Order: sequence, then structure tokens, then C-alpha cells
Amino acid sequence: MSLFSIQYLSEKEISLLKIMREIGRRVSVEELSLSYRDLLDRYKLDPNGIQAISELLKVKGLLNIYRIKRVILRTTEKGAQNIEGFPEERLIKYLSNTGSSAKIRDLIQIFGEDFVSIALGFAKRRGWIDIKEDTIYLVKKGSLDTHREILKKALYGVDKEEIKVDPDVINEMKRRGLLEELVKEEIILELTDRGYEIASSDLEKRIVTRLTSDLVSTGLWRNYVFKEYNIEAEPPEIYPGIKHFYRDFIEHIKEVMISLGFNEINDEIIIPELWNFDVLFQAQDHPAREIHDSLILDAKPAKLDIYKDLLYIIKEVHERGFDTGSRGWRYSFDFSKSARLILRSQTTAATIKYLYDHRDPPQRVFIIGKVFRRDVIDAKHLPEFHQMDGVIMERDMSLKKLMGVLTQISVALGLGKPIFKPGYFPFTEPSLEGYLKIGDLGYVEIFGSGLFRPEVLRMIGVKHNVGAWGFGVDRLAMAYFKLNDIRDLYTYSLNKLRVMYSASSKIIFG
Amino acid sequence: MPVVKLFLDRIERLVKRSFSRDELRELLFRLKAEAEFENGYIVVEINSDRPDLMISEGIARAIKGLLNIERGYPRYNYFNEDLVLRVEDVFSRPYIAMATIRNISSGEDFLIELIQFQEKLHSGIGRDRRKVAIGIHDLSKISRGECVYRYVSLDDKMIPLHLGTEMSIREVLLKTEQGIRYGSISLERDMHPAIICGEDIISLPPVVNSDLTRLEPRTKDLLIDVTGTDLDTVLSTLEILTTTIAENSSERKIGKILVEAAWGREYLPRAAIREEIFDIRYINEVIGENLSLDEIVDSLERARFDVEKISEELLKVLIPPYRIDILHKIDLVEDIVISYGLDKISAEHIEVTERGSLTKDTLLIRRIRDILTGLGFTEIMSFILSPEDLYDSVEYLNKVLVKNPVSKDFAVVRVSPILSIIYILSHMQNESKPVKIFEINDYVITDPMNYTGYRTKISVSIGVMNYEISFEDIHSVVYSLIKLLGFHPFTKKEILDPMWIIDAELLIPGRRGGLYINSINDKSMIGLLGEVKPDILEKLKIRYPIAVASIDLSKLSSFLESTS
Repeated sequence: MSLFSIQYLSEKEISLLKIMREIGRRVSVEELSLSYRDLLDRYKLDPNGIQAISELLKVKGLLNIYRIKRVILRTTEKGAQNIEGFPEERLIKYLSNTGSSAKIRDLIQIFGEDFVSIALGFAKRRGWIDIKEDTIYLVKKGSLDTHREILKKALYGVDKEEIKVDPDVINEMKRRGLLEELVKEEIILELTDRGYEIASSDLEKRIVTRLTSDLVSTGLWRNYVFKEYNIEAEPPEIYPGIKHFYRDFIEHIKEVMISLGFNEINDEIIIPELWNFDVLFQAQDHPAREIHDSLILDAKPAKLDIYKDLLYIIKEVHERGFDTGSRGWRYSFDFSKSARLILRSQTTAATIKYLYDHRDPPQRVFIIGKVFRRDVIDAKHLPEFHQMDGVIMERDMSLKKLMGVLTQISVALGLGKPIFKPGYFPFTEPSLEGYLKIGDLGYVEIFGSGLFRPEVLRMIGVKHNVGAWGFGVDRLAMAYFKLNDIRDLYTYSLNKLRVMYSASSKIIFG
Repeated sequence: MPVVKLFLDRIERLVKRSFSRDELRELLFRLKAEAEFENGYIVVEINSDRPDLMISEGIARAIKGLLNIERGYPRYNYFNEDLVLRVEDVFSRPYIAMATIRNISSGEDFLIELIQFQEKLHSGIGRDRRKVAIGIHDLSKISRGECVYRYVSLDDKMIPLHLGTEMSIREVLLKTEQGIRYGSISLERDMHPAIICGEDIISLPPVVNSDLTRLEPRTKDLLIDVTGTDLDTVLSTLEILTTTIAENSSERKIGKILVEAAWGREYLPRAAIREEIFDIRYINEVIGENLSLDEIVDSLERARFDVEKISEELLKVLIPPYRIDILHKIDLVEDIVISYGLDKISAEHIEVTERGSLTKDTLLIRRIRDILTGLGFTEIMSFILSPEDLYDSVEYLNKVLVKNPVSKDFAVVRVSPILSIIYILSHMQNESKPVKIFEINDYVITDPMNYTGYRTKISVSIGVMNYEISFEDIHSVVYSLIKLLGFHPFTKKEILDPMWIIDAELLIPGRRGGLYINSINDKSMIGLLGEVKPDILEKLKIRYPIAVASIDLSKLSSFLESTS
């Protein structure tokens, strides 16, 4: 037997094996329970549990189990009474003591009617008496020793096969209600060779759960047997720290952008309206400014003296177009509105400021950052979400080239070629909306884009055309990850984060 | 974006054609409008810079161009009305113009759309009636001759529209719905502007019209008045109204009315034609494609502009007055693109020659995310906007408030990443312990050196929440992080950078410290760590102890730059 045994035996299983070995032969479960009580007690085995344990041992090939049907004869209560003397025997005895005859009515008086009728019947049948009118005459003395022996043997039940006697005797006693016949199923246990082997060894002392450094280095592992594990059961759950699935998504977009030659930029979230609206040619009283209601800061206005010259140009451009050839908005520009602090409502505020500080071509930058809007919170809206903005400035930037860049980006993100439709944004002209095919949602409007208006370029002092585009990253992520609620992107549930992490493992970009 | 509901059969009648849904949707898309179909109506989203499209007449005019049914500058039949408008000095609302439109076919549906048109103009170009207000009247109900625009006393009387009874102006302003909403706009102490024709007040701009001139389904001639605070806008609005409504009838008769005011004396509307001259090379530079002269002319005419060829390269474009969205030549380029067909213009491939770069912060953040997840921390993304009571309940001294928050939970711009991490953990008390999280996100500090008075910074915040907490639980983590980033960390009781003093009050004294890099001074302090005070936990209803750390990533980043 290999010491690296794969058998795991419980204490009870080993006990049963040892008991069987001591008994030394096959034995029925019933016999075990009744006749081997001492043995069971010694090994602390409950007789009720024997059957279950034997099944386990059978599976392991250590025990054979046979099921035998046996016919049993058993003496009934009535039969037990007859062991002292059958009614007909007692009659004969009485007769032989009283002159070999007796009147029936006298017998009835002494023994009772039932007794007399049974006794007379069987005595006559056996030829032991004669009946003439109302008198019984003894003919022969007889006894039923054979019958009696059978009844004695069958007091606690006996295998019918062990009674070697004329079947008529048995049938008679059955008919008289003195014997009953039962079919019993017996469960017989028998040790296999392997079972015997194991029962003979000192196994329970040699089962270990863990292989330790000591056992290995001393070589003592040879003396032991290793417990078998239930490898099919679920193990304890463990989790590593994980990165946020949405953050990874954002980082992936960044990788795509830098592979297309764009540089990442970042900027402040608290800015004056100067950058968020004015420099983007959104009139201070224009309803378009309400496209995104912005979140206003409860704070002192920004100090815009460093941008004095810029503000002068902005005022001229807004009011009458300045030297751009534009009509302008024809209203009165208010410097105090420019200085008002808000939380940025679009990341274009960051890209436009970058261009103000970097006016020469070529420029290719992008930003992915948080923007803030006064939106009622629901499954599709939050007051704070991620937006991406990109700009490209070249000497001969054109609409077709802008479409080319956007196609490149969409394809690199694995979203295929966009379908362009005319759009409207206050700071670009011409403007385009880009529709992308997202999974089984079909074509969804994803990004807005266009060439910055000449008024905008004049204000920031850039002399070349600039293509710009932007999109809400949260919405794209929701489509990607098949989420219906934007709030799921910002969950605090570790379980949800893990589920989303494994979902993102399956999503292949492209 | 403004949304209007228009009758499908009106559009079809005006264009003299029927449309399938898809056809109409396509055409409207080319007008940058998005349409939804309902029973007999279309519900269209139209840009606020195209008020001329907010009525079936305007849509029909544009569609006729796209479908080549009518090309070029739309022509109207102007004549001078007998009516004269005398304008006195109304300083709270000085400018006014009036005009008529004759022989229209009215009807219930037309009136419904007309009122919607008026409303959209009011809220858009009219800036909620402050800048411009419009009155539309049944011309036949007006006694001819002279109308006057002047102030009236609040005791004067009129019969407001739909209210059968005469009342004083004062009552109109105090008791009627429009009076309450718009009464204060042009009110001047005890006077209010009014338009009087004959003996009666026909309009009280910008509040309400008189019931005397109420429009009916059988009205044939309209009188339109436009009042406001900016002359240009008043004139443009009149142009939009007259030209667009005139499309209702094939006669297109617009009556000019003489205005006699201190600021001018002329027949209005001017119907002046705007001209733009440009080089087709400009157009093709912007688009990047070479459209031929004929293609450009054709596109412009379909967009309802007239074009005169000056030379092989120069065009003179005549712009109708209702196109207030045309501010610059560039706006015509977009019209050409749309008219020509955006689908005919293909994308041009651009070469990528160099790989771009990520910001230093991003590179550092990637490293930090790797290290912290390696230490068993899970990344959380939460919000910069925080609840005001979070800051109030711990009596945090520094708050940056939003004036118009969308809800109380998003009322404060966070200044304390440590408080944010504690707040997040308070929502994670049912997770199996220990709960180990981190967040890398923006926050703001006050900075008088910056022109806005604030500065945006990035923080790395780390939190551990467990049945039992010790300082080491956060100390070991932070040190492991800093060392793996290549720095030498120190922890000191003294908080040498004042930026961290308020946050330090959240942590147990003797179990908190400032985190320093490479040396110990106010410039080298990059963060704070420690165990959260139990009374803070109690106030925030947190049942488990927490250890936190917050590191100023922007500052850490600057150390990287100086050592590289």
C-alpha cells in the first residue's frame, strides 16, 4: 500500500474495520447490533450508524456488502404456549389418568369448550382417540416432540432452511397459528483483502493534514499518510487590491491619444467665466450660455488685471466683431461677469487657455478632466463628470483634416469610422456631430467638433485654423460597460467594483 | 435647445408637397434640427440661433430651397402703410417698430403656431422679454391714422387680452399673470410704456396686449409691434417676424410703417439687404476641398442666399435679414457645406509623426496605482463636490461653497481629501474587514498668490477601516509607497506646512504626523497621516476605527522633477 494514500478514513470507519477484523468472518448488521454489543461499545460505535459507515467503506473498496433475503420461521405467542403441551397431548394425558375414557360434557366442564374442540379434533386426526356418541375413548398414547422442538428453535426466529423436517409439520403449525413465516432482508458485511490490510495497520496514528518543513527535512514524511482534500468544494474567497475599471478606461483613451501624437494637458477646475465662456465667444446674455447652467462659486471674483489686454480685445470682438469681419453680438460687455468664478463646465476652457499660451503651430493637445454642471441628478446626469477635449492646430487645418483626425481617433478607440452630421456649437463653425457605433446600441451621438470661429481665434491671438472636439467620457463608458446608471461609475461597493473589473477584462478594444 | 411643435399638414401645404417621415427627418437634419413624430405633429429641436425656423412658414421656406422648389433670396412685396407711429421718449424701453402683413390665411392651427413663435422669440432673442417684446394684433380692429408710443399713467385704463373687463394699468400689473411676471421690466415709477392707436391702448409692452385687437381664426391682416432696449435687436426681430409670417400667403405683402422718433424717422422694416463678399478660395481653405464656383453658387442659392459673381473667384452673397445667425463669412461656409451635402465631403488622412506625451502627474499616478493595489488597496472614484453637512458636522473651518448647488450633497468643493476618504468609508461599513481603499482625485486650496484665489491640486488619499486599528496600519503603507517611488520618508509630530493644520485636527494627537520627503521643513512636507479621532467617527456615525493618509501629489510631482 502506498504511503501517499488517497484514502481518507474517519475514526468511525477505522473502528468498523477493526471490529470486522476481530469478528473474523462475515456478519450481518443485525447480528452486529445484537450480539456484538460489547465490541461496539469498546470502539464507541453507535449500532444505528453502522449501515452508513459500511456504505462509505464499500465505496472505498474496503468492505463488501451483501444483501440476502431469508425466510424465517418464528413461533407466535400462541405457539409459545403450546411448548408445555399441545392441547391434544394434554387430553391424552388426562384420559390415561382417568380410565381411558371420558364424557365430552365433563371434559368441556374441566377444560373449556374451545380447548376441547381443538384437542378432540387433532387427537382424532392423529388416531389417538375414538369418539362414540358423547364419550371419548383413548386409543393410543402419542406425543409431539418434533413439533415442540421446532417451536423451541423458532422462538426467536430461525432460518427456514435450518429446520429439516416434513413440510407438513410446519404447515400444520402455521395453519394452527403457532408459527409464522417472514421474509427478511439481511445485510451482510465482509472485509475485503484491502480492508483487512488497513484494519491490521496502525493507520489512524499516521494521517496528517499538512506536509511541514519538519517532515520533509527529517524524512519522516515516509511514515505518514496524507489526508485527502475535497478539492471540488469552493475555496475561501480572497481578493487583491484592484484598480478602478473606469480609471483604466480613461487611461486607455489617453494611450490612444498619445499614440496619435497628442500631448496631455491639465488645468484648474475653479476658473473665471473669461475662459469658460467669454473667450469662446459665448455672449454673456446669450441663451446658449444656458446650454450648460454652470455652478457658481460663493467667492470673490478673480483678479483679471493680468489679462487686461485680452479683456479689451474680448469686449471689442463680442460687441461689434472688432477687426474680424464679424458683426459681433451687439450687446454691452460686462467685465465683472468675466471675473466671476465658476467650476468649469467644459474642458474646452482648458484647451482654449492652452492655445492662448501656445499660439504657434503645430499644436496637438488633449485633456480628460472633471467638469461641473447644474444638472438634476438622475440615471443619466450628475453635477460632476468627466469630459475629454482635444485641439489640433496646423498651418492648413481644414474641415476635411478635422474629419480625418476624428476618424483616426474613433478607429483607434475601436469604435470604427464615425458618421458626421451638421452640428451647432457657439464657438465652432463649421460644426460637426460625430455618431459612433456602440455595441448593439447602433449609432449614438458621441462627440461634438468643429473649427474654432474666427472671433475665438482673434481673441486668443492665434492666426491658424484650429480643429476642436469633445465628448462626455462618462456616457461613452456607460455604453461600453453596458451600464444604465451613471452613478454606477462611482460606486462604493467593492463587490460591484470587482464585477466591473472582471467585465472589463472581457471587453477587448477593437 | 428650444423645442417647437408644428403641424405636419401645415408644412406640407406650404411647401405644396407631402413627405415621408424619413424624408422630412433628413431635410430637418440638414437644417440642424432634430425631429420626433407624433400624431400629425412634429416636435422639433431647433438651435436658438435659427428663430426663423420656429414656425411652419419658416421651415417651409428653408425646405423649398433645399428641394430646389424656390431658390435664392426670398422676395417679399413691400409697400408703405398709411399708418404712422409717433414715438415719444420712453427711456425704460426706448425702441419700437411696427409693420403689417396682409392677406394671410389664418385658422386655429396657424394661430397656435403663431403664439408659439412669439413665445420662442420672447425667451430667446427677447431675453425673456427684457431685451425685446412682440405684440401681434388684428389690423382691422385698429382705427387708422396715427399710433403713439409713450408712457401712460398707472390710472389709465385698458382691456387686457382674454379678460373681458376694463381695468387700470396698475391693476393689470398687480393682478394679471403677465403683469406679475413682466410688469417690473419697463415700469418707471408711476408710468408704464403703452402703444395707443386712436383712443385706445392696444398694447402694454412687454406685459400684455389689449383684447380689442385680439386675433381670430378669420383675421386677414396682422399688425406687429416690436419694442425693446436695443435698436438692432428690435429691427432684426421685426424682420424675422415679417418675412417669416409673410410666407404664409403667396402674396407676401408686408406693410412698412413710418416711425417718427428722436432716434430716427423712417419706414420700417428696412428690408435692407446684407452683403458679404468673399473669395471662393477662403471657402475651399476652410473645407479643405475644391468645390467649383458653380457648386458653391448652387449650394448658396439652395440655402436661400442670392449670389452675384464678381469674378472667377469673388462672390457677392446677399443675406436675408432673418438670418441673424450669420455673423461672419464663416457662417456662410457652414451653410454651403450643409447645402452641398456633408456626406459628399470625405475625411482627409493626417500623418502622425511623433508619439505624444502624458503629463508627469499622470505617469506618477500610474506608478502609485500599481504600488497601492500591490499593497492590497482598492481604488475608488468619487466626487470633488461634497455634502455641506459633512464639513459642518466636524466643524471644519475652511469651506469653499457653491452658490447654486444642485443638491445639498454636492454643495461644497472639497478642500479636505482626508475628510472625503472618511466619508467614503462611512458608506462601506458593511464590507468585510479590513476595508482598504485609496483615491487619487482633485481638490482645491485657497491660494492668494493665484489670480483666482484658489489652486487645484491632486491628492492621493488612503484609508484603512477595521475592527482594530493601529498607527502602523497606515504608517507602513505610506512608507512602502514613498520608498518604492524612490524617496526617503520622514514622519514628524510637527505640522510645518500650514496647509495641513486644519486636517490634522481630525486625527488623534500623538497618533498623527506630518509626512516629509528627504528633509524636514515646510517645503518638504507632502502629506499627513494618522488615526481618526473617535469623536469624529461618532459624529459621522462610523462604528469602526479608521487610519488615513493624504499626500499632495502635485507637490510630490515637483520633487520628481527637481531630482530628475
